[in-house]
Amino acid sequence: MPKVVRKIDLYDKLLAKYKEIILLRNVSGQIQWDFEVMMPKKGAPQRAEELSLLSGLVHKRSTDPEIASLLNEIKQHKDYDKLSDIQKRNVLLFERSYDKLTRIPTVFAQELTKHSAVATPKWKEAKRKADYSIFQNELAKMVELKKQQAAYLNPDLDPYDVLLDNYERGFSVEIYDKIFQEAKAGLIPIIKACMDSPNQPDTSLIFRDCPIEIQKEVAHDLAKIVQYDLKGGRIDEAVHAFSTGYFDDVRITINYNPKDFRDSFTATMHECGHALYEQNYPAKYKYQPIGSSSSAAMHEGQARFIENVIGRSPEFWEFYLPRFKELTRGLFDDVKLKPFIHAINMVTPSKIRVHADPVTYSLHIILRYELEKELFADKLTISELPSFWNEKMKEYLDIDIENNSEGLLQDTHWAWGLMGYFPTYALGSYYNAQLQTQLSKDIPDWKEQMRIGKLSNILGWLNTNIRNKGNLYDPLDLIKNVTGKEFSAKYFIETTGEKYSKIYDF
Amino acid sequence: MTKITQEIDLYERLLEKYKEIVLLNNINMAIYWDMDTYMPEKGIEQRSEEIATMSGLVHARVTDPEIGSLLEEIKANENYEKLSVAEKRNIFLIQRDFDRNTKIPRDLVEAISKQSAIGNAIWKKAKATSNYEMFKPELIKIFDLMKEMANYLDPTKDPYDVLLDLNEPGFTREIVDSLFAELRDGLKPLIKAIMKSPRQPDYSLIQRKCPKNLQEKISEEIAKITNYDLNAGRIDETEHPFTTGYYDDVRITTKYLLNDFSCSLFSVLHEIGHALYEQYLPEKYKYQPIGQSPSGGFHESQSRFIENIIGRSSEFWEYFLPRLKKVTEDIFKDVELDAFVHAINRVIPSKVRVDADPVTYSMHVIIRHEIEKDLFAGKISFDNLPQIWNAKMKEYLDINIENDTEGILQDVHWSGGGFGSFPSYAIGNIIDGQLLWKIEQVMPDWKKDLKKGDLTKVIDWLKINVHQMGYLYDPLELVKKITGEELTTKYYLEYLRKEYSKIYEVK
Repeated sequence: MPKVVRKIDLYDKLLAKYKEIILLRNVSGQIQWDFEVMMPKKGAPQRAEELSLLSGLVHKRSTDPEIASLLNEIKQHKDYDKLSDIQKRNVLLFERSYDKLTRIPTVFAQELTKHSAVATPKWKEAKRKADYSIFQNELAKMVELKKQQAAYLNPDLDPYDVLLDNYERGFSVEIYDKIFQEAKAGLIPIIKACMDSPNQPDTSLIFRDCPIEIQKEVAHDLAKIVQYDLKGGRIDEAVHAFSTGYFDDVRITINYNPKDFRDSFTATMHECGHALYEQNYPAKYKYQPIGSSSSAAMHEGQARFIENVIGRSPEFWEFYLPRFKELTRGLFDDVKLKPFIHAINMVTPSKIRVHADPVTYSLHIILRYELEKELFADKLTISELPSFWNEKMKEYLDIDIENNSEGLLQDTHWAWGLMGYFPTYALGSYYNAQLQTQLSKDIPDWKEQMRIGKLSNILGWLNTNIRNKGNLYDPLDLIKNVTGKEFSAKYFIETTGEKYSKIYDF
Repeated sequence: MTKITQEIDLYERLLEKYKEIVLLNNINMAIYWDMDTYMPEKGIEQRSEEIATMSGLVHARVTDPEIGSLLEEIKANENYEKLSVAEKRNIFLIQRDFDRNTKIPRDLVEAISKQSAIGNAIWKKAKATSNYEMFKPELIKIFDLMKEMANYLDPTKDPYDVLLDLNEPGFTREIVDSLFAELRDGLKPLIKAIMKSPRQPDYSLIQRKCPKNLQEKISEEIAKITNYDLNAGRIDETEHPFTTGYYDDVRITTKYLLNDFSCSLFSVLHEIGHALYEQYLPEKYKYQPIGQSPSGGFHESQSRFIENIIGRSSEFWEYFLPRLKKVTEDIFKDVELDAFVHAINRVIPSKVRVDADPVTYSMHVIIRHEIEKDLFAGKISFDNLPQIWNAKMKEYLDINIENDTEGILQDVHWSGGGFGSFPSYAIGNIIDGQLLWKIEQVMPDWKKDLKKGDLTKVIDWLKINVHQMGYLYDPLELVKKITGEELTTKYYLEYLRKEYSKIYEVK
């Protein structure tokens, strides 16, 4: 008997669904950018309604049951094995994100959002009054909710392991314990050596009034040097530096401080690093799950590669300082290269994480990781957190915390329920150190090339090895593919020791 | 037996659905604005996909069958009659849109949008090479599609009437014909007299080099004096000036010409007229069908009122010329008021509509209307449109068209099927004449305030009588409601005769 049939490519259909989600997310990103950069202030309530409508549409499409049935049909199809690796990766990535969203019951997701809305103002008040007791109960409840969330995501694993893996694929307490142990052991002596060194930086070389107009010129100059494509991007001023966008339209914003050019310098390099990742995915991956970064920490790593590995290197400044002097019209004319490099690489233990330099930063993260780990393992109670915090600060950074505002209560993350997220902040720099070690093998004179302002080979290397790979690999696999070695923190200790022993003369 | 019931407010539900459509349209406006202002050039492909997706979402919602059933339920409900006039108007407007949107088959909508894109691309080429024959087949295709669409909307009516009604609810060919005939017959002798006047303006007064940063300051001055709220709007530069936005975020753009600051100045006045309309719509009508202007013609009346009736008046410049001189750092120091007012009111027939002055402008629109209606009536053929165009330009404005680029091919509208949309521009002028007549009755001294730079009273009058009425009435009803009279060209022609006979010293 004849049948009236139509052949549907299930894989194409799945990707079409994904594309619609991406397009709506991009629209949302665009009007958020507008909100931050362009929108007249009275437009805020209207814009909030628009954003909430869009996020509802995105959520609905991301949890569409049809996705589940398409995934099922595809995976059980007799021709599934004939799909290419790339196609299979797309299917896998879409399935992962769908699972994450749909494993959490809507009612629970709402409860979590609601509690975060309650906890955040409490945290603000507690921080303002330096009174932990105001926030304590909300924090305890948040920890319980996060345990529950972890159980929804994967009931077979320890909750903290689930949360760690949720924010950076492949990570667990076991892995973090190992790398953080190594990092701690290596960093503490380096920091001590820096502190004890008689050779301390002269900060008067950098704290100079520098008009915003001049800093804007510098920002555009730097963007050109690191090959950020302004035909597919733009630079604007905003209260906070950020980058946003997709493939052919990736924008960055910069915050300018007329008293300290470093704010806009680091922001420009950092955000360009993010934008370059997005601009350099292969065009053919557009609107597919693989057309994205390997992970949030890898993204952060790419940002810091431009900011720190290049932007704070002595070699880059050997090339850039004369140009910088010219652009700043005499403001830095008396500055000599070596003391200047020292000043921009100054190491000073600080109470506050976001003010930390690249060397001490890790210890702020390790402290938070250790605290979260103990807390989730019920080895630490909510009321013991302040003393735990303050003791560790003393031990790791030799810093005395006077009150909880500058200690335990400094970050908003826990009020938002981001337990397990802090550790990812350390990874970017560790990834970079390992990549940098490989770069030195592939292009032995890469630092020499920086001295003459030749960045094309280095940037090309990042394109080939990281950016052009999109999300073909999970971060740990990507690092192993590029470097041939398992991920380890030892490269970070090596490169840090090498660099700072020269700068601080020890 | 116990029943588990819940009361649903059907009217609220209907408005919720409408609100979602408004929000989606607003998002689309925001990403369009970005595309025209700050988007990096490579972003165009992605942006087109985003716009297509958003448009798809809007289309699905405006044709959502639930709207149809809600409308039916509401109208059949025992309490329907108890709804307020505004509530009923909202229902009526949603019904009208829903009927229109659901009557046109999806295939036809897609065919029109596809043909628009093709037609637009070919129009650009044809215009660049002055080749009407190249554009003709595309013009015929889109014309046939629009005719087909009109037939779906109302097979009992003349297609051109249907299209006019889409743009200006309540207008028909008959109404437009009679208004435009009066207008044409009134304008012809006026233009002729002006052209013959020995007193002609010295336009070089205006064509002095004025840097962009100073012109931006002029824009800010204009925003201040017209009370355009920059906390709920902004001014940027684009190739073609426009206004976009909704209520608390309404943005305008302008174009700065270094050798003619008046170009941007009048653009800013014009666009602010549009923006004030949107900013002054009643807060309580927000996200409702009545929270918008009734038509393009009405919107245009508000932009032209600020631009022409206020912005080109000698009283306004009595105040603003000294300000301008100060802001522009003496570039115009030696310019005298009378000569300046004459220059900005220069009447000079032009080949291109967008370059036209307020007096000859309507003639360009009338020519387009006459051609469109004859096309729809089958009285003329597409083969000799250029000849017809050129003959009318000669007859109405005494202008010789040398090639199609500056003639029949000058406007983008037809390539996208915008038949029946041109009349709105001139209807805006006609409405202005009648509003002005009313204002002079209720506030005979209103122009004295202009001399002091105080626009509050007149703009408040527009706010209360026009903007705050939202879309409670269709345009012709609203004119009557405000002025007590049917729409007529009488007052607009009176205004032109009075102003320009004074400036050009003609009778």
